[in-house]
Amino acid sequence: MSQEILIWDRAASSLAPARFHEDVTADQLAEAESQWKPFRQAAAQRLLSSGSTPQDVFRLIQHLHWDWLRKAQPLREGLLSVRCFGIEAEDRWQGLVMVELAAHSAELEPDRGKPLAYVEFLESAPWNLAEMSDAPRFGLIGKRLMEAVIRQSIEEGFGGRVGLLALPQAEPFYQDCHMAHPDGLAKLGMNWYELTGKNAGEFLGERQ
Amino acid sequence: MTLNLTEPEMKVLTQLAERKELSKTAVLRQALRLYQMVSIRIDKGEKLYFENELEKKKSELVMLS
Repeated sequence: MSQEILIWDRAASSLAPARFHEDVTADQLAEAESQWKPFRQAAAQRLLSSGSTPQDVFRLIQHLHWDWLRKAQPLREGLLSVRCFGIEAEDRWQGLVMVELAAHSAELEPDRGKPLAYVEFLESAPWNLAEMSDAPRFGLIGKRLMEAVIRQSIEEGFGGRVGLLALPQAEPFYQDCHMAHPDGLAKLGMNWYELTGKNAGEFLGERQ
Repeated sequence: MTLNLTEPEMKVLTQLAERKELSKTAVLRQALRLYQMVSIRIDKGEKLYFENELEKKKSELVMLS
């Protein structure tokens, strides 16, 4: 099922219509990857040609190695706990988020131990990112995807709680989404970010 | 569908629903999702472990597929 939403057209400096898909399939993830991979690779090549080292490139674009074709495996297996949402505009995928809905719980009091929606991966298309494009095409993609995750959390009875491990590069974005980073909580070199039910309400309220 | 649970099972379901602040339906949905996830991974030859970092203990949960 899909519905119309509004995203930010940076060239026109105005809101533009897009389609929000609430059940992205494994085939659609493969399609997105086929659209994004050449753009990612070209951006990395440009940086290397301009004198950046491979280490610089991975520091500048920390999710460069992501591959949605491989990430599609849980959907192919029919895992009930994993869902994927996506945004489409101009016949291209503009953003994707994969959410896990059974195996993670809140770390922050007073809801410690209660279930939350865990963001496995969230990515805006490479042409929307300043690190990979001189003229990023659309904005608001990440925020729209976070809204969808919060709404799913509410629908599941999780009260809007959301958690994730953030790449260092993405931390300012999640802070801007009202997510808290409890000191000392990190895994795999990434900090734990959590959105409480209260902050989820504030985030959604701001976006009405 | 009708779900038939024994009294002790219903008691546990009620306790979990209260502790997690979920409806009983949501608890059962979570249980089904976890059971499916574990079953798929066991079928692929993976193992399920519980780890206690404080006590430095790690134990395998043996599941028959």
